[in-house]
Amino acid sequence: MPEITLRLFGFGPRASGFDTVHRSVAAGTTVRKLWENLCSSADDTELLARIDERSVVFLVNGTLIHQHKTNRTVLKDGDTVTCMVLAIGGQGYSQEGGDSWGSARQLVHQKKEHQEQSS
Amino acid sequence: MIRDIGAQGILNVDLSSGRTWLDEAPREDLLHFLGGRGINAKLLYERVPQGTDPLGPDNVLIFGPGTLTGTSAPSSGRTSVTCKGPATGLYLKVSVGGHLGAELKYAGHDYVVIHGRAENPVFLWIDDDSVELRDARHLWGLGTREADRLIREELGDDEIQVGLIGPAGENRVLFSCIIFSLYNSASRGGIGAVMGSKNLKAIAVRGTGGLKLAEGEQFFELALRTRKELSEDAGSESLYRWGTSGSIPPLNEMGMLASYNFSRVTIDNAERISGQYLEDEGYLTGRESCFSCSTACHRFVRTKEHAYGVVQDSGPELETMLSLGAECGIVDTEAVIKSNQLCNDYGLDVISTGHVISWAMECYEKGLLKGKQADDLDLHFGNVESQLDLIGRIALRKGLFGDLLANGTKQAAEEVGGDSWKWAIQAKGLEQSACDTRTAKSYALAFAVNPRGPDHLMTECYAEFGVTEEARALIKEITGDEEYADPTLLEKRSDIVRWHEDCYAASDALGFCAFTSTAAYAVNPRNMAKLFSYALGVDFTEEQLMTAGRRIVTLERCFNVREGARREDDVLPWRMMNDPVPEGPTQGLVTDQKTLDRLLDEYYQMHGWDPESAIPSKKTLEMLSLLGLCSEIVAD
Repeated sequence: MPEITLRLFGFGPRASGFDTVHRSVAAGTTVRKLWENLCSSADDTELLARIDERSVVFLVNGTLIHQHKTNRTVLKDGDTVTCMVLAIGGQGYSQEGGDSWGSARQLVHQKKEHQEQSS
Repeated sequence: MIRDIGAQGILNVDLSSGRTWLDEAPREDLLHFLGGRGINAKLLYERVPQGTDPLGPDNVLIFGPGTLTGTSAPSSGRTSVTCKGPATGLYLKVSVGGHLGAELKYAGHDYVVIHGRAENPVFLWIDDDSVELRDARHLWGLGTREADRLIREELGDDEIQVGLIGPAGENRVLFSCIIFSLYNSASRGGIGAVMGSKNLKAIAVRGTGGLKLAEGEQFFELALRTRKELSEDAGSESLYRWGTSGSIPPLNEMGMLASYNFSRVTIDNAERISGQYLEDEGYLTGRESCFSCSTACHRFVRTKEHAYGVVQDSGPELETMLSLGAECGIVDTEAVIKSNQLCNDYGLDVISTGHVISWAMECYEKGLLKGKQADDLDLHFGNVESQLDLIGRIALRKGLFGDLLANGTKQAAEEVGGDSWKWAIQAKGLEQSACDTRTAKSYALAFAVNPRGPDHLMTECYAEFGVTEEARALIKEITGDEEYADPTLLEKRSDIVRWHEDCYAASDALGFCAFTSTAAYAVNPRNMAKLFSYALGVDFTEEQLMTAGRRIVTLERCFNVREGARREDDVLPWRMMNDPVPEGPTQGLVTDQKTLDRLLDEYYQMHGWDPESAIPSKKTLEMLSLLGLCSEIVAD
């Protein structure tokens, strides 16, 4: 199974932090599949589930992968995949209405509240 | 007084005689050139003869808010400031936000044209239809913040809008700027030096009138709809949240972050100079919008550690973070905040200031600058203290070294000699902004043909990256295929550049911020044409709007042709054409002469300009109704 490095920027409570994790993915996994898996997982990256893919920039080894090509880009062993929220320009939509950052901020807030309650 | 938005009143001020007079741009000019940048270009062409000294009294300085500035059209508060530029000796237009443009409109003036040179420092006070030149000797030598405060105090009105220069403009530093509304900078090409050469410290404006729209109801409805589209834009949200420096992390990841005087394209700990970091770490203290803007990307910051003193200032933006940060090998957040504050107060363009310093650092590290020649400064990359020291020396032209750097990298390299000219990231005499034109080919072409020199503020081709669905749709609209949304391709670059040139020119002329028209796309040519139509009560099409944009771009070219600029001047900085990207995903890319020639050939052909000389043909000028104005540049 290919081993990849996944770098997420700006999805957690800190806008400027990189979360870097190493993962094994099934052979033939595409960038899109990786994203879908991230969105459906129940760990810290649950935030991703609410962010519209169209607001996300995908890079593989530093090269921009247009969103419509994410389902054609198969990950190889040693690849570094970076996912970042758009920093300027373009239109972004949230499927649930409102802007995607609004949703993200709401989730961060919920998460913080949850953490505070847990502690 | 409420006046017709199409009135196009020109306030002329002759500083030499103290005389002021009013005239009007003809209605036909408004339809041809749209206003703002367009009419400014025509006035410049008519009033500044070939060979005029940019820092002499015969140059003019024109302030022209966009035609829709002062209305509710979203993000329409921009003002174009135009003159013959001292850094290049060519056409210079600088666009600036803030609130002064709208205030001028409300005072009853669509353009202010400054002629001559005052005997002693003065400032111009426009209070509706009252115009007065006031003594500014007590303000000369003061920083922009203090001078602004004193002008407000003297005039007894805190609501006035002020545009003014700092000591750098007074000392005619070739990259000095004009600061508007305290925190907005008309930065490039030494426009502040032109104001300084006229002994004009400031222009202060109070307007209490209004603007009458021909079809107000339709205008408001469309303005509101466009505003809503903009506010729902993910790009606008991130611009609001982080400012333009929010794009630093992706640029670093892609190996496109200008650092160490463009000798590298990444830097460690880049996130410390990002907008995200400013927010996370509590540096960000507030946000503000320019007139009529729903995005509000302008920010305020305050230092926390106070390593360089307590600093409160406007938020460093992308170009500031790169030029005063990464380009100089600095990722110290507070150092960049402090450097930015110094530049703003002295009235220096941050892009050129950073480049001049990073060029000096590279020369120093390579042994071409040393000892007394560099005023005994340690100029290794990353030396914050030397950078802070140099900013003051440059603004005040202090010592031989400060004086040398104050003339920009082109002239400084001629003095220093050796290979230092290769590391001067400039063309036409202007330091390049931070986009890597080795990688992004539309930007490369756009920068090479830019009449004021290589930067992004005449043509922004962000869509070529195809980051968003909308950007790719635009590329498809321009080229027929969204696959051309790839900045490394050479095909279709001239089509992409031309569309963006035309759109940007129209956007500037109407007063729109380019973020809304060529980075986000809610203010598109269709909406612009409709808003213009509703405002003036004319039936103006999208095609007419883009043709007017083209007319402006061509007239600007004609100005430069008359000054002697030709194809050989349409180049990029040496490093962009000869030093391939050294690392990262774009390693090896370069825009060499052969590549640039291919792009230029296509571009000139598309425009109907002679491929050998880059002079617009007679047929092209006829087609754009410019032949009467520009007949002298056409070869017999």
